Amino acid sequence: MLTRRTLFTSGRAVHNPYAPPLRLENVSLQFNGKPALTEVNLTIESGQQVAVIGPNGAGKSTLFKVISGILKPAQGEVLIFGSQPGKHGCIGYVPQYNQVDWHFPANVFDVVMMGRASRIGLFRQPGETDREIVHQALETVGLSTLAHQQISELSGGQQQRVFIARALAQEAEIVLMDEPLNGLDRDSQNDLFEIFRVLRRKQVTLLVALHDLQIAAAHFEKILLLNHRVLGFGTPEEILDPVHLLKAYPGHVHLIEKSPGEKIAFADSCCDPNPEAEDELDR
Amino acid sequence: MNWIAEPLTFDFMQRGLLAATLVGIVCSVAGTYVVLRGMAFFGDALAHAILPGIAVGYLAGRGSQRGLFWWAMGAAILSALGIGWITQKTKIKQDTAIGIVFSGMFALGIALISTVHNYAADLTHLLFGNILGVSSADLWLIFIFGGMVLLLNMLFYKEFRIIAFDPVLAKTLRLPDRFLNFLQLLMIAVVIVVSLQTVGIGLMVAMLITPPATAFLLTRRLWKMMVIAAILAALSGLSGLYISYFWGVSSGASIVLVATLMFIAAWGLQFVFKRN
Repeated sequence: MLTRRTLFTSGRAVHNPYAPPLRLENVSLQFNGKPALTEVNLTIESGQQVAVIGPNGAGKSTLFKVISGILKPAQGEVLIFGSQPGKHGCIGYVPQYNQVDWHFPANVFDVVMMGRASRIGLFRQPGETDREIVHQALETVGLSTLAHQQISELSGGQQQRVFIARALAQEAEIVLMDEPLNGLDRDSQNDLFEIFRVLRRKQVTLLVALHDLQIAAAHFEKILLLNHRVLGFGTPEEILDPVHLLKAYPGHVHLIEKSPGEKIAFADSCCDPNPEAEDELDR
Repeated sequence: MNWIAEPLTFDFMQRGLLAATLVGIVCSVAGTYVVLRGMAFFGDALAHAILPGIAVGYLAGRGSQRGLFWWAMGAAILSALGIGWITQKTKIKQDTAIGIVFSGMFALGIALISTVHNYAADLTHLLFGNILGVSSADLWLIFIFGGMVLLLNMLFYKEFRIIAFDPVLAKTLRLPDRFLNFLQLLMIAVVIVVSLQTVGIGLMVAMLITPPATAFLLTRRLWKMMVIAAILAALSGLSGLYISYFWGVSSGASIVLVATLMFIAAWGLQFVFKRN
């Protein structure tokens, strides 16, 4: 029988409990003949927190769009818990600051409730359960007292947390965040890392696009170096070596031999809004 | 209070006032999304692009009003599809595509109407509205189709809110976003077609955007924005028509002028409150 649910959401994809939350097999994608992603292979385990690092235009946003099923790869396959992303509602994303219309007539509660939409279903109103879940999500990110604020009245850090709460309300198992640290001061950044630890306990798999290697190394268990291709994927210790960095930032990283066997890599972060973010890696 | 009752002794004024109120409410609700999604130029264009549909319907029906609605809807849908098609298939930007389609359609409409004898009078009514010529049949049309638009808007409220605020979320939640976008365009087209007689093609966009924009300054919740816009628009319709009756001003123009004054007042109010 065609129920309302099958008609409009055509069923939710079933998770294979033995499959990793995210697996990319040989994924390639081109824009106007130029490669955006080239032969990306990647497996991310449940609950892992991965910093995605690469220069501007390295394909980080494209990677996120492919993972969330908004773009289809030209070659290769994306597998979310063992099946194609198209029907998964478990992928949450936190947009970049400048992609949000902050003056939209919605308060914090409204925005977080948007994450419930497909669970509520078409032609239905949010119920008591949905409201309870939204309140829990707000509690988790520490915004309970600001539920009725308009989103433009929040600080930058609070605004990021609204969208994390939205992903939690969505019951997302994979969360993608595009440059969430942009424009945040140190305290707000630390608040965010505190929330990442909560996500870790909830076994939420997290991918965060960043451009600050130091922060990536300090706060993430895995780093993915991306410049159209995967240039390296591993723990900070494995990735933060000059050879990898030179590949990721050709022309931006300079190697200086200090003494035999000891090299210094300077990363040129000219366009970084945060002047403290210069990476100086002593090896 | 004789001045309120006096115009109501005329049937055409009763119908006009009812039409102005209904149109104001329906336009505000659809127009709220036009404002929030930055589609004002598209709304203006759609109102103009309807003209050849009306002209063909008018010529085919030998001057009868019957079937005009469907001809107008046909022209609106054709134009909306044409704009989408040009934007997707060429490197031309959307606003240019809108400009090309709407001026082309508008010119076609004028060309068709100019073949008729009483060309100037008909065109004036289409361009600037003829609210006092609203018939009972027209009122029913506004009532039924306007009611459908309001109902659809309530049914898809939470989905429409998402595609207006965050289209990417609509995709990751696997909402039927293409269907929802098309439905919203269709609703805007329906609203424009049923409202055309009140303010005409030239001022149609004001009915879509001015009351919602005023409400946008006054509230921070979506549903409140719709309700306030609807109330303001209904008030503009009523008072505009009274002004038109007593001072002999064009009805469409006075309705829009009242709505514009409300916008200026809300802006001033916001300015005063921000300073305190």
